[in-house]
Amino acid sequence: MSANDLIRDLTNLGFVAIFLAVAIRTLRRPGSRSMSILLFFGVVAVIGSLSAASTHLNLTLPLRIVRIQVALLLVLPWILLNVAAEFGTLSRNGRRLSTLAMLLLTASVLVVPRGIGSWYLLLLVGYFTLVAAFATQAFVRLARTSKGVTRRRMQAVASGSAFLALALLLGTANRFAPAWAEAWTALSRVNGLLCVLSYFVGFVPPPSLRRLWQDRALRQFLQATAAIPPTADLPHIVGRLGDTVAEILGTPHVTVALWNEAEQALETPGSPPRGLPGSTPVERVFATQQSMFIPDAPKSDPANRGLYLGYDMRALMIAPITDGDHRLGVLAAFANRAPIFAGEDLALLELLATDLAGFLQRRALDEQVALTRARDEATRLKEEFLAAAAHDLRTPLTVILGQAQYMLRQQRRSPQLPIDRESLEELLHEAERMRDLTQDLLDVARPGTGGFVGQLAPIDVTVIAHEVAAEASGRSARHQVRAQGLACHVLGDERRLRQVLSNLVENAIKFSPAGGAIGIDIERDGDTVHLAVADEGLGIATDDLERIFERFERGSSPAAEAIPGTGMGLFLCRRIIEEHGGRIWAERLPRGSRFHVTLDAAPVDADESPEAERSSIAS
Amino acid sequence: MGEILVVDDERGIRRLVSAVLEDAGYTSRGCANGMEALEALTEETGLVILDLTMPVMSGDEFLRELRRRKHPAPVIILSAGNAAAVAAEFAVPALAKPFDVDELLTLVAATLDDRLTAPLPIPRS
Repeated sequence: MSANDLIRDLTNLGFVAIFLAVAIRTLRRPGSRSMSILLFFGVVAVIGSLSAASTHLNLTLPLRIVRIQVALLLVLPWILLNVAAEFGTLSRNGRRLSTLAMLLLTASVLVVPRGIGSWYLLLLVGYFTLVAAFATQAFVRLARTSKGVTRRRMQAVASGSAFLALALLLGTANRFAPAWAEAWTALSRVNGLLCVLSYFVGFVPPPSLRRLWQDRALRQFLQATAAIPPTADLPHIVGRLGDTVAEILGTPHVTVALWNEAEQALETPGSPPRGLPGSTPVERVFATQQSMFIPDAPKSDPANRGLYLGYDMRALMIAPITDGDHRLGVLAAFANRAPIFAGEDLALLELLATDLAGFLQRRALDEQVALTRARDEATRLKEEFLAAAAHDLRTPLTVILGQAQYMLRQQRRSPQLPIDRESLEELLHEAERMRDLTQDLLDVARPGTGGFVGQLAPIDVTVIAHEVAAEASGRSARHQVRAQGLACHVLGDERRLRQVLSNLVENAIKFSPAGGAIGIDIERDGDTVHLAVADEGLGIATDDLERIFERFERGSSPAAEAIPGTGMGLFLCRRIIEEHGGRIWAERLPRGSRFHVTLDAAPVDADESPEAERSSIAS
Repeated sequence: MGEILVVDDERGIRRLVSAVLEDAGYTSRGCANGMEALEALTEETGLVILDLTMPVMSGDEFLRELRRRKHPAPVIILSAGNAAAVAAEFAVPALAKPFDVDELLTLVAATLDDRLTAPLPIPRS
């Protein structure tokens, strides 16, 4: 047997094999599409078998059989065109014309006299090539518009159709150029073999090839999940992964519905809950955990007919999103027509749903861990705060108790001595400190925002700054506290603004254990009053600049941690200033730090002549 | 009898403890943290009354340095926090804030009694 014959036989066997595979598939799942594909390969198998039988058994086929064989061959590209038409839309006129040509030529083949001449053969070949090319072009267009596995299969089918047309063209060429007959035959048979291989890949791809294509799709999906930032919220994640699945499958729309345990319902995160009546296919898939392909959803699910038609959705594929025993939801892919290779797509959808389930479970676990960590952190902050608050309360209490005992002791020993006024003042100061601290505790525990600022009145913050500076310098020998600036009026709660300035100055003293200069600068910039409290102390780490304004949070450097404190002060300052409509922030200096406060200037300033610059320096 | 160092970052407490001690006939000197106390430390220092939580140098860091220098001055911890661990580590007595003035004076007298001659009798009413 020559190589040419071997190729021909292999080609014929290949077509029979495809026919059998498609037949088995059609028996399992009958549908019009499989039927037309079955018809196509059935016709090819019959033509191939007839020529094989005549060659191998050395039979001369009767003319009638040859006529039928040729007629079948002419029907072939027309069936192919029908297959293409079922996958996508074709020009109606093109189809009509090809149907007419097919009918006329097939009929003519059965009655045409022998030896009619080469022009007739040319006509047949021309028809075959044109219609096959028309179908090929349709498949190419389908390949271009589809995605993923479908695209690859469409490409294979398009090549197969092109090879089919070429094989016939080359097979008849020896009639017109007999000098190269052998070359034509060889080329035609090679084309035939390429045709059967392409169709094999396109219509019945082997599992290994499918897995390869699926792997690519799954990798694409994994890359999409890896690209999702850990902070993304669920609606965003679900939307993004849904889009990725839609892109992989080449369907226009994919919905991820997740099970809401509280509501006992499936819902799409981020979308308003839709009361889907009765037992929808999505709910059925979730309940049965069996994936489902619905070629005609409006018909199969008439309750939601309006919904499907409204979105121009006809076909529906649904797979459960399940990780082990955890039923998380369903993944539903919609299409405006039944997908070309539904089984294939459904299998891929199942794999994607499984991946999605794994991803969602991992994310839920991560969230759980983050939540636990946040809770632990909150507990730690609370414990530290309680210890610090107790410490802060105990210090003035120690002085009050000790001072009282000491004074009593002195009075008992020498009743004639006058009461030491300085000690009494000290007692009062510490008692006031305790009062302020307990007030802070109540303030910090107040839920929500608001309620910090009472009666608003025009006040000169520069005056307050001077008073705060004078009071502070009297209390620390190692710090020089000064305030400077022109009169600046704001509309504010005097007690609260004094609290903010005192707190900032106290902090400046507290966090400058080695002493140093502390300055309060007030200036007006247009409609804004700007206060700045600067020190030469320990400074603030860049990472802490914003954090220190949170409740119970404190500077994280070892030097700052060694200084006792509750983490209430700056939190309260921020709330007071924000409630005044102002802003407070911290700045890191080369040496020390500077706290800024901006407040809206009160309109009264404009009517007053600017006072002379005041400056008080005390130490 | 040597000077008593009162080491506390709280000015009010330094002032109170010093007043109480001086009223009882001792001489005292206030220091705002461990570092200041190390600088004020002399051979004449008779006792250190020490807070634990302080900036710059904490009480336990000061104690470690004191031991390293083999300074003989006895120490009394006066702290608002839990001082048990540090007190045990350095084998020194501790008093919790808020403290009782009489208790402090008794402890000061007893501690000094162990090392030196007894101080002046504490006047009691």
